[in-house]
Amino acid sequence: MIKLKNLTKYYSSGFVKTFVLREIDLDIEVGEFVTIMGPSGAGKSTLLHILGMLDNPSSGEYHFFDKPVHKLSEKQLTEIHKNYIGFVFQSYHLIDDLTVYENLETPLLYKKVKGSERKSKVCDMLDRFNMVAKKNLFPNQLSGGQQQKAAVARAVIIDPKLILADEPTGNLNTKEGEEIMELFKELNENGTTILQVTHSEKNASYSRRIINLLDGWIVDKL
Amino acid sequence: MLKNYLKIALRNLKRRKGYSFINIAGLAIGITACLLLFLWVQDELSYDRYHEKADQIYRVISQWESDSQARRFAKTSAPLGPALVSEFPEIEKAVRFGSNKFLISYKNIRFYEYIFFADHEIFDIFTLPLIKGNPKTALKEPYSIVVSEEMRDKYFGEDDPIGKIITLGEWHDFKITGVFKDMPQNSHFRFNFLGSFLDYASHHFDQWGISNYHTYILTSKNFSPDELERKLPQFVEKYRGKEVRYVYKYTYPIQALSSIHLHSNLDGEIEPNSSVGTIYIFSAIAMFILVIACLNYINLSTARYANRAKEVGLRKVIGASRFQLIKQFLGESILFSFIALPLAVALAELFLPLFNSLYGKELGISYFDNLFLLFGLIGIILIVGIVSGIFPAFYTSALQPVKALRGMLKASSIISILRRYLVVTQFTISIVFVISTIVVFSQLDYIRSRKLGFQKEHIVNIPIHDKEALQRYETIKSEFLKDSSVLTVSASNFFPGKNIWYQSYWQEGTREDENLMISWVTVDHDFLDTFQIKLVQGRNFSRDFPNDLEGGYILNESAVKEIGWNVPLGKEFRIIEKGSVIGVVEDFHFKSLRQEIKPVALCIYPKFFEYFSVRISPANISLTLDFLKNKWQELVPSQAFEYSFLDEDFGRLYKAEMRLGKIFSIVTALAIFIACLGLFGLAAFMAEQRTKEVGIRKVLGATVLNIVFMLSTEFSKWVLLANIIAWPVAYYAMNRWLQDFAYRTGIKAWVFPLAAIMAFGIALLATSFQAVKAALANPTETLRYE
Repeated sequence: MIKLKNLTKYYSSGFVKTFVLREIDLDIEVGEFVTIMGPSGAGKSTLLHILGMLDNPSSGEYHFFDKPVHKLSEKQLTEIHKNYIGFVFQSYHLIDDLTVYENLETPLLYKKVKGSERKSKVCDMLDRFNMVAKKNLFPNQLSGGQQQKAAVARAVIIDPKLILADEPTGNLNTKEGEEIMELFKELNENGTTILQVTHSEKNASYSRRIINLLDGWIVDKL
Repeated sequence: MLKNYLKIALRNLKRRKGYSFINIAGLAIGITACLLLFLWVQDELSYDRYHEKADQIYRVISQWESDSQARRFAKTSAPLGPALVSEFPEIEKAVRFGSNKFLISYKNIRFYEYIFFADHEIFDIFTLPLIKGNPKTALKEPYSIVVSEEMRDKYFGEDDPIGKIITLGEWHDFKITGVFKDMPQNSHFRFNFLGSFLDYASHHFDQWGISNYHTYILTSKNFSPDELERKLPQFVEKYRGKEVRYVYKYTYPIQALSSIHLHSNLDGEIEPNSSVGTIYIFSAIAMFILVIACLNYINLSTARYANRAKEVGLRKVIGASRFQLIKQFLGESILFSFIALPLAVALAELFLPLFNSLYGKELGISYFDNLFLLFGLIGIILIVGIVSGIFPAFYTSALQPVKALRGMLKASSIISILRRYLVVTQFTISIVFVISTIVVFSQLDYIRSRKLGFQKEHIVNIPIHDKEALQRYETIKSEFLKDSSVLTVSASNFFPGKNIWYQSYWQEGTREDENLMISWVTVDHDFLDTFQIKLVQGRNFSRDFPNDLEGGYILNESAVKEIGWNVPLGKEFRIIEKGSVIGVVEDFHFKSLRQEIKPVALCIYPKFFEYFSVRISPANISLTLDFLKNKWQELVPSQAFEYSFLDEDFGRLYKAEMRLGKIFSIVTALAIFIACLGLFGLAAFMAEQRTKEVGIRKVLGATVLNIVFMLSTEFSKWVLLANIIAWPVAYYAMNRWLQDFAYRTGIKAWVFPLAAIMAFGIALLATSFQAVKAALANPTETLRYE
């Protein structure tokens, strides 16, 4: 599903190039649950962003479902976002001015889903994540764990083929973190490919494959 | 989708109530000011256009050359109108106007009123609808008069006035033959009584030399003013003789009716007119206020959007296309600006009565009649909404989501630069206003305090309406003098700013039929003393010289200069009676400081006296007034005692300037207020952007004072730039305005630094609050990693 070939990312300021990712080769199949690990500054988040098409590599190729992402237009990328990818961030990033219900609704609005279908999808999601009671609350009225659940729900509501999670439990306590990881496990068992970046060994244990990054390189073992 | 956008927009509004209010209020105030000024301008431009035949009506004025200068006078002589009609087929009709104040009595109701007189053709020329009476015959009979609705109510109440007789002073009875609709306020002349002209001016019917009347003509549809101008010299020669045409270059220019109110400011106008300069000034002011308000709005809005970068990044991640984002933000922006519209209209309605009283108008907002206005307003709101939304919309929609989400987005350089220019522009405009206001008030002060060449303080003017009292004027004077606080008394027709008569005169060395013109004032022996006017040559009028009565002339320095005499004393001179020059006085300002001092002659001609001028001691003024009143009632029981103070009368000459001063100060306060609002909001935003930096600095050891100083002075360079731009602009504009005054104060140098200091002070005030707030924030809170 995902094929990275010789992917490199650097930032240049003046004459100096700062490499963040070096010659990454990576293959990920549908239905995998992969964790990307490594010390801070290793380039994990950058890799995730590139995989999520939020950022562009400096050189190399990226094929998503055999489509060459590095050659696609912004419009086409938006299409892919809408239909295939769900993002979960460390700091939730819910829209503060909208209720939980409205937050969940928003991706569907961008996909131009009809009213009645929207309503049923949102209610379904609220039910599944046990958040029906909270549907009219605003993000700042929820705890961290609940906000992250809502964020995951939002990521999942479009039935994405791929979920990218950047330190999903970073701001949560142990119990909340567990809840989220269980969710991920369940989603993965239902066929969703999950790629997560994390520091936690515990979180990594939920996945079946670990990729280690060090100074921008993929290494076999730390 | 729309609902989603709407919800966010409104909730965002509610969440940042402070900013939103400042934002929208600032815009609304700007629109209100603009709206009111627009109404005013619209009214001024509409003067006299309600006459059906307005495009065919012209006023004829007099022009001659004197001292190689063209002199113009709004009044013409009586025979002119009929002569024009008979000579030129393209001039279809003419009407002449005269006016005077009379004591009107009907039964036992008596009031002093201004009575106008016109030829009966007036109804064919001007649109003056008669509610009662026949326009074809109303003024044809001798001693007939028509009255306005207002006068009908005043004198006759419910009764029908037609056929009733009213008495005009000591002169004659007049029969009422019609009632006309009150004249609209946007006319350059208004009257409540109109009598037949034939009776009023009969003694001047063939006097070409006495210019006492206003002449208006109705022309044919294909009339060409240029053609008339070409034919006029022959006309002048035919009716007034070769000398008048060649030597004094006498001619009769015409003015289009609708141009009179704004462009004509001659001697002899029926009522003081406005000037087109004021229209320009007010339109400019309106535009500037709107600009400031809009810039403000744009400024604050863009600040608001930078705050929402995170939301934008997120939406992009979720799948929003750039177009959808642009739509969202643009829609929000337009929505907010539409909220400002009803607020602005409400404010305008609220302030309209105040505005009307300030400018003596009766303006109203008629929403449906004034479609132009309505569309204009909507257009402005749309433009403001789009302009303020389009930039942030495009800019933020192009953001890279990652950077946006990480909050790595600083107030980007482009937005910052834009914002800086906006603040600079706002402050520039405000500073220009501040300087202008200071200059206007300086000029007013100068006017108040300038030496006029005569004393105007503590002089009481008592108008004389009873012609019989004139014959006893010396007696009245000596009776007044019986009280010790009455210092001197003089009788004359002198009144500040009053239209002094131009009269053809004769001097030694000119021929009998030459027609030179001069202003003249009729005075008495005590005039120079009462007004403390300085004699520079010769002597004052004296009772020891019986010929002085009607035969002695005193000229002012300008008159002597114009005539060109080296030794004026003893030269023969005549205005009404032949006499000689007995003295020369220093020039004095008998009119507004807007005009150069013109040549003037003084002579004693009691028949034309109109006022007693009483110089009283400054102590116990009210007692002295009581004394005067009692004496008057004793001596002149037929006339009520009226009085005014000369310095106040003079002050009224400058009504227009004082109004301008008032309006300028209001406008300046408004402009500064709006600019400050903007600066305040901006400072808040920038402080917010830099909370992290502030936190770090505090941790490193900066004191609160350091931080406040750092944040506040950020703006000082912008204010400095604003000053540099504003100074030359203000200087140029005010210079132009001051040109209108023949006598003016210069623009003092200290005005500019003063304005600069004010601007800095205000900017400091606006920003310091936010600076202090930011400086006091606890670093542990601001530096917390999200």
